This record gives sequence, structure tokens and C-alpha cells, in this order.
Amino acid sequence: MGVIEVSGLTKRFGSVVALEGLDLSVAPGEVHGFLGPNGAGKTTTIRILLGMARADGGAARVLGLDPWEDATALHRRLAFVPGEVDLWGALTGQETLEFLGGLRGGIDEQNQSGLIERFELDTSRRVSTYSKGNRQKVALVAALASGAELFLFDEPTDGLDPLMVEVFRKELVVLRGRGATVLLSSHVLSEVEEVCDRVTILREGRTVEAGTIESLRHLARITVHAETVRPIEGLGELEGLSSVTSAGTSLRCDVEAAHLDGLVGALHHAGVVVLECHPPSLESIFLSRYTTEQAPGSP
Amino acid sequence: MSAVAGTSRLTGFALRVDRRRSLAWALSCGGFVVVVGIAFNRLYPTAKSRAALAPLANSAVLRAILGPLYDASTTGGLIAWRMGSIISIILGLATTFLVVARTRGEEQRGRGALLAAAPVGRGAATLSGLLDAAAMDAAAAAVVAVALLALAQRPLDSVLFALSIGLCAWCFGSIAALIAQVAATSKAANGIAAGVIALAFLVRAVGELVSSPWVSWIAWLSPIAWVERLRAFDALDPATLLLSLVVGVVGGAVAVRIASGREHGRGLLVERTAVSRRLGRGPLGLAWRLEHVAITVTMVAGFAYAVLAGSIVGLFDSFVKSSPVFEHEIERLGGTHVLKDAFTTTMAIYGGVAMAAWAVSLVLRLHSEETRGRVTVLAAAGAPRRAIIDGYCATALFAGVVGTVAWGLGLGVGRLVVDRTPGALAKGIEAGLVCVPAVIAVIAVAVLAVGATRRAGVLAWGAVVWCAMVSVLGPFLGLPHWVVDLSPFTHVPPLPLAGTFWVRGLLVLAAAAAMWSLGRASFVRRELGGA
Repeated sequence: MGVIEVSGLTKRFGSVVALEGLDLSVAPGEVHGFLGPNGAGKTTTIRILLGMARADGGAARVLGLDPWEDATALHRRLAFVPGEVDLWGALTGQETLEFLGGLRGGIDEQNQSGLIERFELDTSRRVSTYSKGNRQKVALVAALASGAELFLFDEPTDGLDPLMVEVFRKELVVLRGRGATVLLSSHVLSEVEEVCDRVTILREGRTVEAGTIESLRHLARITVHAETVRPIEGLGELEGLSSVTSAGTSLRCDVEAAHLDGLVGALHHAGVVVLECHPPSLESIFLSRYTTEQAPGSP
Repeated sequence: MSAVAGTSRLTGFALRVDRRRSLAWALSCGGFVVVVGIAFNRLYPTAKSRAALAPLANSAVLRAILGPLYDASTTGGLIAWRMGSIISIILGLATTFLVVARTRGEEQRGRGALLAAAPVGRGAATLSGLLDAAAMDAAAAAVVAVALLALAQRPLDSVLFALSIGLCAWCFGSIAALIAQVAATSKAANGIAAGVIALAFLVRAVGELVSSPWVSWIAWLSPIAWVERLRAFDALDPATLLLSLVVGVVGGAVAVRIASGREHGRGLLVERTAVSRRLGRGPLGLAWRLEHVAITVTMVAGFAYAVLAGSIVGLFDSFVKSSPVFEHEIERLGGTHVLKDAFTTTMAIYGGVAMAAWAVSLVLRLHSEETRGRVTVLAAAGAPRRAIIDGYCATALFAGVVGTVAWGLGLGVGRLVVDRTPGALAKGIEAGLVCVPAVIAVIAVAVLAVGATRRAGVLAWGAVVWCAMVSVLGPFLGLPHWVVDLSPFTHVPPLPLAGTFWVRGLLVLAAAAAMWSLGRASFVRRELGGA
């Protein structure tokens, strides 16, 4: 039984359809990437998982609980960081952390001070003097210090500088190490690629891909750069090639994973001097899902 | 009970965040009572002078505006009469805004999500907002009670009267909590809840004026009337305290109940579907696009309210004729039309102060846009500073001026409907028009504050509160002339207009223009604040 089990989730706001049959499954102890362009329904899904919004249809269970009916019990076991953190300007960072920790009924002080140090947060200042990144850090520290079983992050690194993004990434590894489950919504694909075990990609309120990054790689094209002794013959007959630039003995192209073997054969005939193959990045997987008219849900 | 789990923690936090604001309101209410009490003792030192006040106070006009005067012989009785409804309304508004800010206000800002994701029930924020408000109202009641104990002799009456004010304000807060569950936005909730308080004032005014039992019972619908009908310092009727308490608790309970089944950030009424319109050019176009709905609603509501207020004038004749002694007195003063004109002028000034307050809030929009960094967006997009300040302030000017004129028109229409005398309509319009320079002057203070400083709120609201105090309490405060003259509403000429009444208006306008251009010039030069 997954920590998050969502199937066929639908939600509309008036005439606007936000979710249209979304599926999401997150196993215990995994760091799960939740990807999609702006407006795909990531935040709406997370709000339903938090019991802040009510689904119109479909089923959602979080930690075995109904997120709407058992919201309070559920919140004791999870921590949440929104993408845009707004705080009480009159309070200092320290006061804010105390309050947010107190709402959970106390947190691990030592863990928290370590986090404050690692995120280089000056908690003695008033929150009204904080930049967006600093406000984000407050919410991150409060959540990470909570010792929750499940962490919901909605684009949490928005506004953080690259150094702090790296700190956050390390914290995710720590969370995974102690067996916590993480749902990380993001559009920073490199971040997700590096830390996530599995990803779910959504588009217009529907799940279009789900699986490990490895299993998704075969869906996208491999970028090939080759230099050969002789001109490559029969390039025109090869299947699965695209974005071809060839000039005699030099070739750059993208090839579908299923047709890589054919291309390598042709290159071998021409005598390989240089051969570079770049496996598809998550970014290219992602882009291929949004720029081509592929039917959603194919493996 | 999981719907309100975590309420105590949220309440503690809310109390801490709001402690300064709450304390300021509580002390202002008490201070208000002390000032007025001392003024009464000075203005009406003898039993004879107090006895002479009673018939005037219980005349139709004053009864409608201030409520009945039960016992003029004691300072406590005078304070209860003069301050009961005013403090209830002011504290009621403060409570309303506090409750809405702590409930829908937090939800509308991102930080509400942090609270909602914590292990607290869905109804906890609403309940803690009500408790936070209760603390403010209790503090205000305590301060008022202390002030009364010092000025008046009867401890039980003092305490119960103070309590009735606190309960009335909390009752309005509870109604606001209910409205906050329904309204689409917190701004709408504030507007509707303030409208409810205005309606409560009007309902009790009608109830006081009309002697027919078929109509007068409606005063019992108004929480403000419950404060008056406690009959403090006369014949105490503590049952009225129960009314506010029951309505407050029931309203609050229903609000918490709705909140615990409602989605975060959404009222029961969903915001209407957005329609893209073509914006006017520049910052003015933007300001108009942002505010035109509120401006239209306020205009229509103000007009409707003024029509009702104006129509009260029509009841004067029947009221005066009900008592031969009274009829004689009024004839001696110059007839009912003197009374009607005085009432129209007073109502026009009240409306003018209200419209000025609202226009000031529109000017302060620029201030809040600046602190949120949105002015930087405009400036970076190439809008000249001058155009930015003009855009917001012109919208406010338009709203304030047209709102005041619409208010005056409403008074005229109201008078015409029941009075049917020639010139009734013109009287209302005149009363509204002569208030316009004063309204512009108050807006100009706000423009100066926003333009020249980065902490504009205190100065701008200070001007509004000053005008409200001087024009509502006026001579009762016994302030030196030059202090009273600082309020531009002091210079509004009374009806009927005669002679060179417009000279003062022009002077007020000249002062306004000077402040306005100073504020505008400072805004162009100073550093922009922002996130």
C-alpha cells in the first residue's frame, strides 16, 4: 500500500477543469518527483492531498487516511512547504519557527538549529526584512525539523540560490536515509533527476507518464554525435532518426531508443572514429511529452 | 472536536500578533469616554442645565442619530446616551476587520496555507479569530468600565454598560465571521460586514423615530439598540446583554461549523468568472480596473442608504405634531424645516466623512502596492512616477467626490419621496455638494502622507479619525476653536445656504491643492520602498 494513492482524481473550479482523472502513486520511503508545466494541476493535487480542497471525483488516500475527513490526524504526520511563502512580518524568524513548531506540538530543537545553520538563516531579524528566498528557508526549516513521515514540497526551491538548492538536495537525501516519503513538485528538472526515485508527469490535469527515470528514458530520443572514416551510407533509409545534420563523415542526430542498433550498425560500416551517445535527460523526456502529440499513458 | 483542534495555539498566536492593535482600540474607547465625560461635566454642571438638555436630546433628530436619553441627571446617564451607539459602531468595525483579517485574510495570503497544513482543525482559525476579537472587546469593555467607574457613581451600571458595548462589538464580529464564510473574498467580506453595521444603525434610527408599534419593534433587530435599551444609569435591563451574547455565540458557532466543511481559501459564494477587459492607459487605467467594482457598489449602497436617511426627515412632521408642547417649541425655533435642514446637513457631513474615509483607503492602496513591490513593476514598465501617483489618487478623488454627491442626491431623493415639497431634492444635493471641498481636503492629507512618507497609514487615518471625532462629537469635546477648525468638515456651511458660503469652501480647496501638489512632488523625488 502506497503512502499516497490517488486514482481518477477530478476537480473543477467553476468552468475551469483543474484535474481530469489524475493518478498518482507514491511508495513508502521514496522521493517522488511531481512534474508538469505551470497550470497542469500540481498545486491543486497537493491541496487535495492536504485536505484543503475537496476532490469532485476519484479517490485519494494519504498514509491510509482520507485527506478531507481525517485532515487533522493526517497533518500530524506530514509536513508541507508551499512554493510561495508568506509570513507574519512583525515576527522574527525565531518566533515564526517557534510558532510553526508549536503548532505541531514541538519539534527537535537540535535538528532545527542544525538546519538553521546549514541554510544560513538569520533568525534574529524580523520576517518583514526577509527576501523571498529567506522566507522560503523559514518554511523549509520548519518542515524539515518536524520529523514527519511524509513531506509535501510544492516547488520548494523557488527563490533559493544555487548553493541553497544544493543544501536542500542534501536534506532530501537525509530524509530518504531515515525512511521518510517525499513528494516533490518542481519544474527544475535537473533537481528532480538527481534526487528522485520515481516521477509522475502530468499535463492538463492528467497523468501522462509515471515510472522510474530509467524506465522513462527509453521513451525519448538519444542524441548521437559521430565521426566516421567514410561517408555513412543509407542514412536516408534508417528509421527513427530526427534532427539530422550530416556533413560527409560527420553526423549529429537524435534517434529513438528502439532504432539505436540500426544506426550503430550503419556507423560501424562507415568506420567509427568518434561516437558520443547522450541518454535522454529528464528535460528531453519532459519536452517530448509536451511538444509531440503522443497519446498519454503509453508505457 | 477535531474541527477546532489546535484552537488554543492559534488563539495565543493571534493575540500576540494583534496585541498592539487591540490595546490601542481598547485605550481609545476608554479615552473617548473620559474626554466626553469630562466635557459633559463642564458643559452641563448643574441639574437645571441637564434637565434642559433632555427634551432636545429626545427630539426626533437626536433620538434617531444618538438614541434615547433616559436619565440626563447623572454623568453616567449622559455618557450612556452620547457614547453607547458611537463606541459600539467604532469597536464593532474594528472587531469586524480583525475577525475577517484573521480568517479569510490569512487564507487569501499564502501563510494561511501553512496554518491549514498544520495539525489544526478547519474551524480552528475562525474560532481563534473570534476569541482574539473577544479579547480585544473585553479589554475595551474593561477600559471603558474603569473610565466610567471614575466618572459615574453607579458601579453595576458602569460595568454592565461597558460589557454591553463589548458584547455588541463582538456580536458584529461574529456576524462578520459568518459573512467571511460566504463572501468570495476578504475585501468583499469586510464591505458586507461594514454594511451590516450601517444597516443596524439605520434600523434602530427608524425604530426610534416611528412611534407606531407596528414599525418601532424593528429596532429590536439591531445590536446597537440592545446597548441603548440596557438603560444603563436609569432602569437596568440586563436581559439585553443576553441578546448580544446569544446572537454572538450562535453566529460564531454557525461560522465555525461552516468553516470546518469549507475548502481553504474559497467562500461559499465563488468569485465570479473573470472577464478580461480592455484596460485604460497607464496607471490610471490599472487603478480604475482594480477598483471600479468597489466604487460602483459603494456608490449605489451609499445612495440607497442616503435615500433611507433622507426619508426619515419626512417623519418629522408627524412626530412633532404628536406633542403640542413640542410643536410649540419647534415653531418657536422656526418650524420643522429648520430641523430638517439641520438633520440634512448633519447626515451629509456623516456621509462626507464616510466617503472621505473610503477614498483615503483607496489612496493607501498605492502605499500597500508600494510595500508589496508592485509600484516597482509599474515604474520598471516605464510609467512615470507622476502618472503612478496620479492614477491612484485620481481614482480616489473620483470615488470620494462622486460618492459624496451621490450621497447628497440620495438625501434629496429621500426627502422628496416623503416630503413632496418643492426644493427638497435641491436641499439634499446642496448639502452633499458643500461637503465636497472637505472630502477633497481629507484625501489631500492622504496624498501628502503617501507621497512624502513610507509610513503613510498613521497620518492618513489620523486625519480621518480626527474629522470623524470633531464632526460627530463637535462642541461636546469643548476643544479650542483653532483645533476644531483643523477639521475641514467644520467649514461645511449649514443649510439653507446663504451669502458668501462658498468662500470658505474655496479656501479649503486651496489648502487641499497645496497639500496635494506637495505630496505629488515628494513622491516623484523620494526612494521607492518595497519588497
